[in-house]
Amino acid sequence: MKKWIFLALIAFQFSNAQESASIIASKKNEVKFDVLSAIAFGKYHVSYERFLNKDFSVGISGGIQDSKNQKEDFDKGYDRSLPKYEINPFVRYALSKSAKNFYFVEAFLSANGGKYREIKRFDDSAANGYYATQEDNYTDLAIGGAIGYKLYMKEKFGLELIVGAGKNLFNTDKSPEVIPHVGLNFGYRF
Amino acid sequence: MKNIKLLFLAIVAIASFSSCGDDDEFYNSKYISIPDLIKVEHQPAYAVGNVLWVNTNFSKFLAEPGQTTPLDIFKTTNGASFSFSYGLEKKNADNSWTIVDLENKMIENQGNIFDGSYNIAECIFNPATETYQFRAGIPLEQAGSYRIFFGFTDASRLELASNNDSEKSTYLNIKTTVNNSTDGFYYFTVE
Repeated sequence: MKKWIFLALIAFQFSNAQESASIIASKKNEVKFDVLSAIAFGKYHVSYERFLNKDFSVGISGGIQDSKNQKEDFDKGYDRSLPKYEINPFVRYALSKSAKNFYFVEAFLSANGGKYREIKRFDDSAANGYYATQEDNYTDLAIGGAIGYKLYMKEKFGLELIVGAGKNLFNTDKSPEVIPHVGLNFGYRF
Repeated sequence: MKNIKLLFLAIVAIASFSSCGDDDEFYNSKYISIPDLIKVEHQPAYAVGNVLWVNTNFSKFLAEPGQTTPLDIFKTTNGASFSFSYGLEKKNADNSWTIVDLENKMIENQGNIFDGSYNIAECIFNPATETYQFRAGIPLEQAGSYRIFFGFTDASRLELASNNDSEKSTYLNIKTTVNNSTDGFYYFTVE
């Protein structure tokens, strides 16, 4: 008797999981907010992801950064650059077949910009030189990759951990050479 | 669950790494080289009871190699003073050198001296002459062979560093040399 009850429970669980996975898979869109970046880095980062099929998805994320500590470090010369924004189109490939929870890899581009500082020599009106800090803006394009893990609750709320990095390509005498791509996203799938 | 923990640890590690990426360097500093800004008041011979003086007396306008205009170091540092370090060593019988502790022995004449095994000399700006002035003497109390070392570790570290009031102004480090020195040391004998 116990054996039959156990088997019935397993079967129920399995069909329930199947049903849950199929409900999730039927929802093709997701919006996300990065909780970790907001708390740790003062960066407000939102994403949209479109699921093309069970393996691939594409999306775009954007972030603005406004951290008082980072601004202070930049002003005091501890950091050469102060990232302000990024726009990241991405493509993802799911490594596991479950729609409820799975690992994925991501390739992304990042159009990013902010402020940078450098010490320059100027001449004053009396033709004497002096060194002073000059601030200016930078923009650059980075390419990068990341790995992540995604988990769904109640077939619509997603929790996603992602870690990776990108490398700026064109303007690294002013922009940061490496940009981190780290987040803990809380999402809603619909 | 284990995988989530591992991934979370990886995130924390990369986040820590990325957040301190630029911190190894300090971007408000400027390094330049201008020779002969520190002087030893050289005498042909020294005797017990003499004083060996070290001084600076350089203008706020310095000729910077490679530049066509003089460098205004006062304006660059927003009026900061400049410091350098030096000390005295005595030669032992086995030809090794021992640092002589000069705490409370140095004679301050211009600027400030913070004495000890390593002396920190502070060159103060004199608005009347528009020069950075420092002068302090080492009383020579015992006969022997001596040398003065400059910088904390070796001669290559001999630099005048600005003592900025504000972290937001430019820190200027001037690598310089001393007159009558050999490999960064000033050698002399006290009879």
